[in-house]
Amino acid sequence: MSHVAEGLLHAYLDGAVGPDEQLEWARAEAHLEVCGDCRRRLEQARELRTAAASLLAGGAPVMAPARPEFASLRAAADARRTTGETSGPDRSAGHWWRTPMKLAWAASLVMAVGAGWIGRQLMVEQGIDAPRVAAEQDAPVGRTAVQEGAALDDLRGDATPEEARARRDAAAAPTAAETAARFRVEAEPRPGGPPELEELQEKAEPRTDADPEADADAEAGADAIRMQEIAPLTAAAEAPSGARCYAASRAAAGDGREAKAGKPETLRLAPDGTATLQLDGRPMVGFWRRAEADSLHLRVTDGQQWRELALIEVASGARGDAELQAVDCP
Amino acid sequence: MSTDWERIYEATWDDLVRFLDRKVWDEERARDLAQETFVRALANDSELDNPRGWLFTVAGNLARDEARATGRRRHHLKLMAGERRDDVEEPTGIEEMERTRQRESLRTALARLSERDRDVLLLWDAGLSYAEIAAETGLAPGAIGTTLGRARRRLVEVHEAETEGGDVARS
Repeated sequence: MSHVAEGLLHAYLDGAVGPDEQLEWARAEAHLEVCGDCRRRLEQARELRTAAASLLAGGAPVMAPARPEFASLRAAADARRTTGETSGPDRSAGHWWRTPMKLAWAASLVMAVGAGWIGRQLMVEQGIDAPRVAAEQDAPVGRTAVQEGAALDDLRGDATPEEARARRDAAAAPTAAETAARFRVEAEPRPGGPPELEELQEKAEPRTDADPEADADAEAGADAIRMQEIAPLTAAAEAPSGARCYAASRAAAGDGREAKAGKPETLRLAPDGTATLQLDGRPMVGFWRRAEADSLHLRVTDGQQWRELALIEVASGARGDAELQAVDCP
Repeated sequence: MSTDWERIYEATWDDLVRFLDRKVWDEERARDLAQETFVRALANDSELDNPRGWLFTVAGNLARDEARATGRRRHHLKLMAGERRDDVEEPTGIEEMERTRQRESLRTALARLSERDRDVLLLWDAGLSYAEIAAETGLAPGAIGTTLGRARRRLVEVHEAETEGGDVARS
């Protein structure tokens, strides 16, 4: 018999020699008895299989995050059925991307009112992504009332299709004020947790430009984070790697207003969660995470000190003098 | 509906999230897409021959759409606050760095595989059988071992080359 085919060796190691291949495998086994080369190839395949599995497991979260309650998925599915948005693998229903947004709300609610969200406790302890987790864990009131109500309505399925769609649209494209409101709530102190953004609230500078919506928001909560008036970015160019890069514009370079809090001069967000930036003239590295669907958290260090930056993504067309511009990634 | 989705959910959720994460490289989005996949499954009244296979098909499609949408999306950022932190313990950073490094390394290596090899490898990693992978990909069941063998070899070789290259670059 000729040497054993590579694919058969892998199928054997995977315990996947099919009924049609039993005869072939019986012959292969006999051949392995007499062929040292094939025995070595079997061992190599075994090592390859282990090495590949180990690589594929690399970079997994330290602790598996908790999964949403099955009941919440069931409720969301029932709600969707009543709005006629059922779709199968042909993904015929459009705008699917809005739905996960709604589901994210729904899941947060379940987590907020549920028995706890221990899966990410470790990350809370490490301070990673803590504001978001804190909101989910300790604050059933951690969402704005309208959004919470909307999510509940959607879950219960008593929203009309029009209402549900309008809410999803709103959720998919929050205004800056909405984002600010959400962020403010998330920044509420978490008892016993690490010091969080409340410190930043005190230190962040007031806005210099009045925004009626944001003002109304600020009045609603005395401890609102004052958003720095830092310009929205023009469209960020994505590198082939999926990274997004930004650089400070010249107009803002002479502006000393941001010296206290620190403002990136260049910023690169890699899709794997690493961030590299130039801050106050120093190169820094660290991580970025989505704190919310439209806000980012950066934690970076220059090797001595850590800094945290909170960034929000806003819709195009927002006002402000350009401070950071999207650039092609080097 | 006789399909026991709750049991399938318990057994498949982690694998599905990991499968999606290896495609969109964003753990939050992977969980969102996994939820969407299950909601679609639950909202679908029709009886399915292979519910698990169906889940991975839908998830694969969602991930593909996600990749396209991400390519089009425009991001605008505002800095809300930035502050120094002294309460961060260094080991946390190092562990996270290591995890990030492994993630990036895997991503680079997977990107060098052909789409078919990558799909087969990720489906196997997600726990699907040869028969299920064959049904998903349209390959003959007898070809799965060959494809997997090639994909594994390529993954390991690319990774080794990358690692050596990185060491050279650093030294």
